Amino acid sequence: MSNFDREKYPAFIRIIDLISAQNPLQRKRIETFVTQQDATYWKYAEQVSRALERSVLVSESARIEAASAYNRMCMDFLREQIHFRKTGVYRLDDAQIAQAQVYDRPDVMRYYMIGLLWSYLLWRNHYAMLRLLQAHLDNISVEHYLEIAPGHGLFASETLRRHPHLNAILIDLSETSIQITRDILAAFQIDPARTRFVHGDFGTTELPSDKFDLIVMGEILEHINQPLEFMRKARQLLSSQGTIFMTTCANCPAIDHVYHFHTVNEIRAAIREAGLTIVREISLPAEDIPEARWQVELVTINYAAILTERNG
Amino acid sequence: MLSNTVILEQVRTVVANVMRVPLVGVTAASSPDTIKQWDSLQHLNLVLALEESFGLQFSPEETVQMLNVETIALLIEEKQMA
Repeated sequence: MSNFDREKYPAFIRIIDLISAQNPLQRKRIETFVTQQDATYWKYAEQVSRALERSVLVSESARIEAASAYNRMCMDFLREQIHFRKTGVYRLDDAQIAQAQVYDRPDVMRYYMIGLLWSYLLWRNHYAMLRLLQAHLDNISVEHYLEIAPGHGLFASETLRRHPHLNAILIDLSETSIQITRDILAAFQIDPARTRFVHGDFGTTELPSDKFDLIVMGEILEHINQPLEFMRKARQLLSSQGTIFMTTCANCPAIDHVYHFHTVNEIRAAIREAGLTIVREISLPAEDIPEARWQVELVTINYAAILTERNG
Repeated sequence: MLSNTVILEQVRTVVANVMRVPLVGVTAASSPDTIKQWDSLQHLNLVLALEESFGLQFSPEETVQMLNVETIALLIEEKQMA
């Protein structure tokens, strides 16, 4: 990576150098993105990278593995995109198949979750969604926090760092995700006593009856067969002044995506149907083309929103 | 060395069309390093356009190796001979 301050941001540049060496296409994409970012971004990316280097990425081989994980995830996305562009549908349409092919396979989950973690530093849309979460966390007080499918653990680390008094309940289908989340929280020196992990399916698992002030559900709805029921259950667990931070996407094929939102309006309709109100939202196309062409060209749209219970 | 210049010329044309650059600027050595528009998103478009142009399908492993015009042409030549 040229023209970057290697003295100020050595840990972050180390990982993107490794990614770029393995994958020239990603080198270009990453360089285009990071060169446009400000000091806040670079400091944050370096903070995350250093935290990881102190804990789970101590060795060069571990860093190479992390870079390989990211590139392998990108290859998966490319494979799914090719199928989607040819057929107009996701390869899978049943969450049970995704469970067997992905969530029940520690080898797949490991590289997938590690790759996704880096995507929140390296992809424009994912970083924008992370920034929305950070801004929301800075503007709320939270006593009871639930995260559904923490996956890569980055959202959980943001929430628990910004609210140091807070304890969390985190539920995930995948033991590998739970372990990765534990590792990320440990990297940021978050006391394990602050977290209670539940290994299970949010849709069928009984959780404590307390209401939650904050529910974080990142990249879930496109992974399940019935997102409406899922959101209704989340709403029932929300306190009267509580908020949900959610992310999802339209036209976004992936190895475990089964529910196909075709447009952002379909996402909004599901939110309304679930009895929730959108307080703030962002819709981010993966390509810089006019909105009128998004549907025709099946452009991936990343979507993030802050929701409350709808009154009346 | 590529024996089939017809394939090379067809690949050059597809690359020029997908990347929306003048054909004269696309050589056997052209790659993401030399064509600014050739990024990961355009690479997907390129793969699909090549599949359509040559009536072939590429595996995901092949698509990530297709990183310059000559390499693409050689791969296509091999697949056509197989």
